[in-house]
Amino acid sequence: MNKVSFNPMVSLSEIILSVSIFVVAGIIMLNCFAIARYTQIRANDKAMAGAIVQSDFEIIKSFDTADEMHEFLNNSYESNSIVNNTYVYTKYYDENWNQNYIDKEYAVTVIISDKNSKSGNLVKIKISAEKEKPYNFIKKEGTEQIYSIESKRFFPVSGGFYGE
Amino acid sequence: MHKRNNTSQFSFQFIFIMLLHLIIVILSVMIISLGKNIYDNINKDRNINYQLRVSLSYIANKIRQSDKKEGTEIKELHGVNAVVINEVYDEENYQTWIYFYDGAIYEMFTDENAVFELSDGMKVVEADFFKIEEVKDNLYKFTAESKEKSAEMYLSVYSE
Repeated sequence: MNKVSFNPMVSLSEIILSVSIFVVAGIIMLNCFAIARYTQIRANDKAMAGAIVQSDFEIIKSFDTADEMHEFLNNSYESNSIVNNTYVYTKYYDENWNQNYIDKEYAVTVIISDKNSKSGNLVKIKISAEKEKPYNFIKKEGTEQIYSIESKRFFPVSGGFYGE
Repeated sequence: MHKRNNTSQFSFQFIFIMLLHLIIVILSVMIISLGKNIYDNINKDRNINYQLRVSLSYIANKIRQSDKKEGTEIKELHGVNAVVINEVYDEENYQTWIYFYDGAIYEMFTDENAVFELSDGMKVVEADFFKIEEVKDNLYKFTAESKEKSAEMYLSVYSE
């Protein structure tokens, strides 16, 4: 009858080696899972920020005068400041993208610079969405810009073609 | 006596090796389960985002394609708001109606002033809830909801 030989010391070192390889592979896999999750969160943030920024731009586009635009921004944005004829309006969102002044996770900022002329008012508009705290697994300090749009809007004195 | 010591050492090492095997199995199950959960979450988010974004983008593209004076309007159809896109082909007036009905966005292409039921349209994309509003003459608001998430879109139009 054949005898099956079993050397426990060799098996133990093999097992320890295989456990070590497994642990290294596991750590790499967990890291990949975490990165995938945060990439998904960033993609969602970009989609939400894009929708909010574009919607605000569309609302601004629909106004006939610059005063109407400032009135809307004063009412819907929580903080505002004026420096050298540049208006800065900011509103804040929580982690679920609900407008929230206390739990500030994201900020949407509108920067408006006026340029008045005889025929009307040329307004340079920049709307950007930023994350207040940096994403995990990404070594960046301070705020991180998620989405930004920059454009100009001319408000004619007479109200323009559609303003009559 | 010597033989007995060898036996106990052997059984101790055997148990230790088996324990390591068990740790590998437990860790494997944990990693697979974690990976599955993360993948499920990613897939769920992707589906919700798809529903929200596709429905809003579809409406936005349709309106922008026909965004000229009197090109689009919002009308009520059997109690629900609908986007109506006016088109002219071979000097005949046609209308495309886009509305929310029975958990989906429907589209109906028909002659101007034709009478039809909500169910007559063609299903375009599924959505848990979709609302069409006219904020003012040149500004429309669309709200899409899918499971726990909702998204809004404003659209400024030339059609008044």
